Amino acid sequence: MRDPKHIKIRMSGLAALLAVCFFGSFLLGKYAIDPWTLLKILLSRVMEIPVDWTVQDETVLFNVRLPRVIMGAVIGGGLACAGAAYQGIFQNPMVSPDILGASNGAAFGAALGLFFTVGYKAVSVSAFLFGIMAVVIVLTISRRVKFNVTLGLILAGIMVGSIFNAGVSYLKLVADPTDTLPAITYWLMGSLASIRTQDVFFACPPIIIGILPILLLRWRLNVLTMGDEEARTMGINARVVRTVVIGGATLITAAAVSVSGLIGWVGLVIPHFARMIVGDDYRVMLPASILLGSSFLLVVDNFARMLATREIPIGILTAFIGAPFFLYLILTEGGRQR
Amino acid sequence: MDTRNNTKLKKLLAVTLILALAISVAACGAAKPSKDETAPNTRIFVDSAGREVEIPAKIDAIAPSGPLAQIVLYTACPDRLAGIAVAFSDQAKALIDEKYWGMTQFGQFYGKNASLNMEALIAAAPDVIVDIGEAKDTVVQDMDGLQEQLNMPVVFIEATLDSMDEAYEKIGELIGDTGEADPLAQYCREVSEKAAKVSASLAEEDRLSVYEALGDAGLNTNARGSFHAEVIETVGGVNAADLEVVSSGAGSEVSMEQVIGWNPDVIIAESEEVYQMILSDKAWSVLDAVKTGRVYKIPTSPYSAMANPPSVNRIFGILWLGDILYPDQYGVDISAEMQKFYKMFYHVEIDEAKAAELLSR
Repeated sequence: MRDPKHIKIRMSGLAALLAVCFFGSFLLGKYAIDPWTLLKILLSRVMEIPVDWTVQDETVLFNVRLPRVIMGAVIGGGLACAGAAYQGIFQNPMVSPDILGASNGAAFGAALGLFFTVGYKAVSVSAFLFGIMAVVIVLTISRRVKFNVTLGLILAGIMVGSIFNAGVSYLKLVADPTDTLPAITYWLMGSLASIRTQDVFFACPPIIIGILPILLLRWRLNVLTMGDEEARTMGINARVVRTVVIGGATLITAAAVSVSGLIGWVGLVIPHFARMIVGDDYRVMLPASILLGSSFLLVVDNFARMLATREIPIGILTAFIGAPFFLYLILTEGGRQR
Repeated sequence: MDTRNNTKLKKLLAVTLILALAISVAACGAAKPSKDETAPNTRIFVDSAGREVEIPAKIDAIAPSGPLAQIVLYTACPDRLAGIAVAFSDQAKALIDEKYWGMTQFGQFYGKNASLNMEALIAAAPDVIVDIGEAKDTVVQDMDGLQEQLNMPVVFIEATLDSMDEAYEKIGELIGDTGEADPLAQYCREVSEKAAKVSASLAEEDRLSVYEALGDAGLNTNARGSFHAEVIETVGGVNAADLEVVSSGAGSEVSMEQVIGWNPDVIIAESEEVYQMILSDKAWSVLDAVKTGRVYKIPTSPYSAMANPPSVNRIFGILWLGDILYPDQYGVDISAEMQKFYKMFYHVEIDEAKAAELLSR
């Protein structure tokens, strides 16, 4: 157990990092706005300021950058929270938020929506519902597995996930290659490029609603990592906790995927990073994961829109950064245990 | 100690979230900035989706929303391009003036999660953004959404193989200068009309079957009825690939046995390698088309004459394939026609030798 004072300082550091990333992201983009103008435009919403900026400045800031930055912060924090919670309840550090098929289901829902060209909003709704549906199917199947609950869940998750994956592949095969196929392909790569204000209103509530119960139950997650038997001796119903956490994480994942597509590695890597900084105790590790996840996705998204004049899908970048980092963690952690 | 620590954390988190949401709510509730000062210099353009869009009276800079729009705009008004959607391929670069290669790339718009960099697009400050292609069911919603987010006029122009002429007329109307676009529209119309006439005049038994050999082994094809094999049917041929499951694009894989079963009258190959392979491979030699020397290489520079991408390049494809299948009915000198088409549409002068090279003759 680390010194509480130490942890407090580190947590404040993480919060400060998020604040810097959040406000710093407003300054970055292919369309240059100087910080002073930016501040004036922001303040003009709450007070009278003579307008000396162009309509374009305002459009970029409010219609393009603002929704994107908010969404990036919320999705990054949400995915890291879901990942950390899953790693706890499955007692497995290799688990990420898509383990129960939520991402695959949502990807299928989106591909289906794009295939039938149902429109911008309906694609998100379809993705969200299929993401939830995939996990409901997994939970139903796993209830019949008597011998090992977590194993049953993981196996059912892999199964259901790969069925939805096959569905996506089939839709890609029969989709029109001039517009539908690239639309599906780009969608699956994950991107915050086209986030609109309406997406923020659509996805933020479920993500925040999903984060809250996990945050409130985070002390019980500590106990659950020791196993169901131990949890019972401490008067905790592992099954209930697990179901609530799965419900929250599913809301987060389905909502995140429904607006941004597949963004991998955040939910897997960030909790480990958080553990390195504040230790294993879920009471601080979970909030630390959320703060770090938000900062991480904001930084990566800045690269996505700054590296070239065309967007680089963020899912590609998170993998490029996440995978080597994870490898590094495995190698150094392995060394420490020896 | 720990509890206090947690309360503080909770507060911090809550503050961050509330702050984020508050800003977004403020942003959404705010009224759009007034554009009164520009009002007299605008006009109303009705696009192919029936949307009335207010555009600047004078259009000097146009941004394409994707590769299809890029090709059509390049053919109609290359000097008005404010940037490009995707980089030109090597085959395109061989014939397209170098000054267009290095233009800013915005990426492509496909409704959602595409590679379109909105900030780069706004920074280039085009007068209008143009989407060209087949109208999807959600076209009005997609265009309006993008227009609202970018706060810039976005218009849709429909262009299918049959309506290429109307697309060019629409572009002429959009840029307020029909001098450049009308001859192109006229050309497209004449080709389409000629193809329709020839196709209607052919007796069923005179129709030749065509197999389009795509992919590395020549065993990928565009099946009968697919949007990408339209040229074959338009010129009056029959697509040999009669498949039950039609997958769009070159996604339909077939087996050598199927090709032998169809025994097409004519084979057209997309790549030089496949073309040579068909001529020399033992398995292909049993086909009538190979025996009678009716295997052809599709001209693919700057764009394939058949389908890739499915745009105005197919207008030339109609003449090219028509000349191969029914030379008497089409009656074109394909080399001269190629020089004319490339001059008009791709803005490049090619001599007879170059035309022969592109036609693989």
